[in-house]
Amino acid sequence: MDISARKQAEDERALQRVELEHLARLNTLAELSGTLAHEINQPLATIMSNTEAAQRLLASPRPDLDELRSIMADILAADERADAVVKRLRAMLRRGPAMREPLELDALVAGVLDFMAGELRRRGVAPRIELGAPGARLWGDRVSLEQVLINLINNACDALAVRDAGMRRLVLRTRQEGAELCVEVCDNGAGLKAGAEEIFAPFFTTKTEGLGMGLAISRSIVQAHEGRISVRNDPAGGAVFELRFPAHRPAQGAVEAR
Amino acid sequence: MTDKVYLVDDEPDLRRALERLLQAEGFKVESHASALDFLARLPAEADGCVVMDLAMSGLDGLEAQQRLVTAATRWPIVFLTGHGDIRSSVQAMKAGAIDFLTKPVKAGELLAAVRAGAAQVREAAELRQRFASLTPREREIMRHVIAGRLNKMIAMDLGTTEQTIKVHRSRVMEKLGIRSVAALVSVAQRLGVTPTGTAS
Repeated sequence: MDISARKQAEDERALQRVELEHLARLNTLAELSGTLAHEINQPLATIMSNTEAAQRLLASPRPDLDELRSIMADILAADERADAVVKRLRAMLRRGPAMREPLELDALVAGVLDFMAGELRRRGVAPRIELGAPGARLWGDRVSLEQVLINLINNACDALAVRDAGMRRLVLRTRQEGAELCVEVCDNGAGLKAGAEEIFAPFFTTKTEGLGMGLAISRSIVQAHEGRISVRNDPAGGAVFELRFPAHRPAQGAVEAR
Repeated sequence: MTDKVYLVDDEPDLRRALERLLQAEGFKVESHASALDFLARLPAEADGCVVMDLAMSGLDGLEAQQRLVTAATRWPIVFLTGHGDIRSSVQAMKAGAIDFLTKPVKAGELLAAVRAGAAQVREAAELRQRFASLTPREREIMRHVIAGRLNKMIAMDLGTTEQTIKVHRSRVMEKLGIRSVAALVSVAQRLGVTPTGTAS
């Protein structure tokens, strides 16, 4: 095989991966459609009731201006929340090659948990976050990595359905170990019956609806970041998914420039 | 007297907005961030309309309704929901909810439902007041009447004359402001008065 043919094959593989990641993202979005609708609907409801309250206050002979000011501030905040959801949606729908940038791991994980807060609340899952890698960064594509985390959190929620509503716990943990950054997604659900190799295989699923591509794609995204994904059962019950990435070290010049 | 509303929603921004709206309409609002919190401080008598989100963490709206239904007095409930789920709306309405409104909820719809709930609360309070004016003897006879017993039988049981029972009985009806035995039965149900011969 000559060099140009090999190059062409590589390009095709890369294109296929982008397509596949995009498909997986659409699938994740479909699974999250209820959440997204809610995350947009909630600020809309807040805006509507605040506006109607303001109209009533304005109709009174001496409107309480302080109250009106705080209503306006709340309307604006709700508007920004809805806007953030739409922006995130747009980013996930975007098709195209990954864009690499330095990402703060703790901020990334906290951002995803924030996005999923409504969904978790509705599914009766109490999340806890233990951020242990302050300031540490990795070199990666934000949207893809967010998708991996969303996928793992979604799976954890499904696994937690066997527990009573007050008992569903999810823990997200980050830490730095030498030159590696580590994220753990732990649940106290049913745990895994299948082997680790099996669950990362394409089309493996235990759900009635679902492509069985979530973990396969997640692994491919993690590997494209020179990372590893592994899973184990927690002896105390539940599953622990672990992601490991090389920590990003800024170029020598950038450090000296500070 | 200002009508009271118990607002139960776990989303703080929306809760504050609804609180403002209800207050602007002259309601006295008591807010709770969870159904458990509300149930833990539940007054003995239903003294306000409940406006409750359906999907909440911890105890959800329908479960809370089940607990309220078994409370001694009847609580009027207006449900709010993020998405119109037919099954839960049917369940909620069957269990006696006033209305089931989809968010974002228009002020007009919400206020109409809350006013209907407030009217129920006032009616029930008036009924309780009327019931409180009955003498112990009259209450006893009321429990016999709603058990479907005839004046003659009641008189025999209580060792008095049929005429005396008739007088007591008409006084019960007059004090409660009703005319028929059927209405008396339904009023008794709402007041939690059980017929003679059943466990109370």
